[in-house]
Amino acid sequence: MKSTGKRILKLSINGTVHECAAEPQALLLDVLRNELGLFGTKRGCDMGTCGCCNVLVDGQVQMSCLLLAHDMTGKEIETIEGLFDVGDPRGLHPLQRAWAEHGGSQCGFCTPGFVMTAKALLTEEPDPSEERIREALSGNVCRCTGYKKIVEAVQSAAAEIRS
Amino acid sequence: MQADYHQPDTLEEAQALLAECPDAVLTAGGTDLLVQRRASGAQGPLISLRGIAELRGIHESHDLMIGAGTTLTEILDSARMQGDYPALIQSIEVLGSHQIRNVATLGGNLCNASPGADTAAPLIVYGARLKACSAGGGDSGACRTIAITDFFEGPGRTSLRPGEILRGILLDPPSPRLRSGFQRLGRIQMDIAIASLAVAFEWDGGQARQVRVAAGSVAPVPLRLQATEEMLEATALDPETLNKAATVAAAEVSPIDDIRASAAYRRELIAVFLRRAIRAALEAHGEAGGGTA
Ligand SMILES: Cc1cc2nc3c(=O)[nH]c(=O)nc-3n(C[C@H](O)[C@H](O)[C@H](O)COP(=O)(O)OP(=O)(O)OC[C@H]3O[C@@H](n4cnc5c(N)ncnc54)[C@H](O)[C@@H]3O)c2cc1C
Repeated sequence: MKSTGKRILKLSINGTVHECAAEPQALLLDVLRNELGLFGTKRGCDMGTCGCCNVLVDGQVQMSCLLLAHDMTGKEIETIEGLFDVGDPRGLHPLQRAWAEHGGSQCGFCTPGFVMTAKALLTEEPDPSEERIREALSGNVCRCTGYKKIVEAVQSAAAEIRS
Repeated sequence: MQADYHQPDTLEEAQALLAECPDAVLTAGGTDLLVQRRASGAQGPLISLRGIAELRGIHESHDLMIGAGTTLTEILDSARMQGDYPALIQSIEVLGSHQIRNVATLGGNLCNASPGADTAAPLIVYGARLKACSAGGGDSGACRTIAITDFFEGPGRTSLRPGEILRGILLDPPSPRLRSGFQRLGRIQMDIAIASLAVAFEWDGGQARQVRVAAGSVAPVPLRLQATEEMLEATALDPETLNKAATVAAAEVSPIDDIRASAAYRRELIAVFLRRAIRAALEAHGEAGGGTA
């Protein structure tokens, strides 16, 4: 079968259109990290199980390790780098602040994936129950600690965003 | 350099590409395929079904047709599906994670043909028919309809012929008397089922008719349990009948020992699931019946 070289790819990421060349079957995760220098999105299990590479695609949480970059044309991608809050002196989004305040991270590797999953949840459901939060985060794995502080961080951010 | 990635916009184009390039592999959500390719190192050309609008959505005419490329989240969000096909909804609610369901398709779950594909047992008890199309013939090529019980041939093997694409899953409109439900156990939610079971029956003046039972992860293919169905047919689903049928069900499956569970445990689960699924299906309509689980 014939091989083909890199193809031009235009991606809308965090509201900005990026253009780069990518192999036909390049993964979104590799394009984000290797072509665009967006290192916030992590490669964890590389098989759809851990949630470390989660990004939002048209507002929906999806795994960038199982998405082919060329399928993302015309879609709006949001990564951890796109989160900010103009009202915060450090520019942190309420979820990021809550994570810091509640100790939701230890090594921090899983955090971007968790935060993106939580963002999708809170957009759909501004006041989720603890059970709902746990269910929504069930595809994200943290290997350092338990999930209690992570759940508390989501609850606290939800309250702040609602107020 | 990588092999090509084709992104057709229409089914016709996809069929033509597949006919032209028989070693190309189809990908829908990619949640099975990309993981498998990474493990095997396979690198051939891919044809994406994602951009094909005809493969998506839930279409109602006399029958209901779920496009093969409809995502599991789209099915979960459908009020029609929630109301009419609860066993299918229950199987999707526990399938993978949000981020899996947002991209994984119903067609992909079936075509991957895992013995533990969670949507298979519910679709068997609802008597689903699968529409498969290939290049040639009329407008949308040559199509045929396959009964879901003739679809699975072994782990990873289906009766789709080379060049065929699964177009949709056809379901009969349910009668108001249809009762159905699904039971499953995994070690954790994100794991493939240790065993699963679906039932559907018409509840007619205190009698069960047209009983269908199917189970997953307990045979090389998702399995319809016909001997069990016969035990339950035209009964009141009283405790004694349920207990007898549960024994038949446990004997009718042919599970294996693996890292998830022993074969003996799987048989035991099937017996428990049969009683629970029937009881829950009746209770969902405020009706009593069934034995003790
Ligand atoms: C972390 C994780 C957890 C999972 N948990 C579960 C679970 O709990 N239960 C479960 O059942 N599954 C589970 N899966 C498996 C998988 O997500 C599902 O089987 C899913 O429905 C596959 O759909 P897809 O669209 O991603 O298929 P793809 O990966 O795109 O395709 C799967 C196969 O079907 C073929 N195919 C796809 N569409 C068509 C078509 N229209 N016509 C012909 N052939 C086609 C492809 O060529 C490929 O061989 C899990 C997967 C992961 C990664």
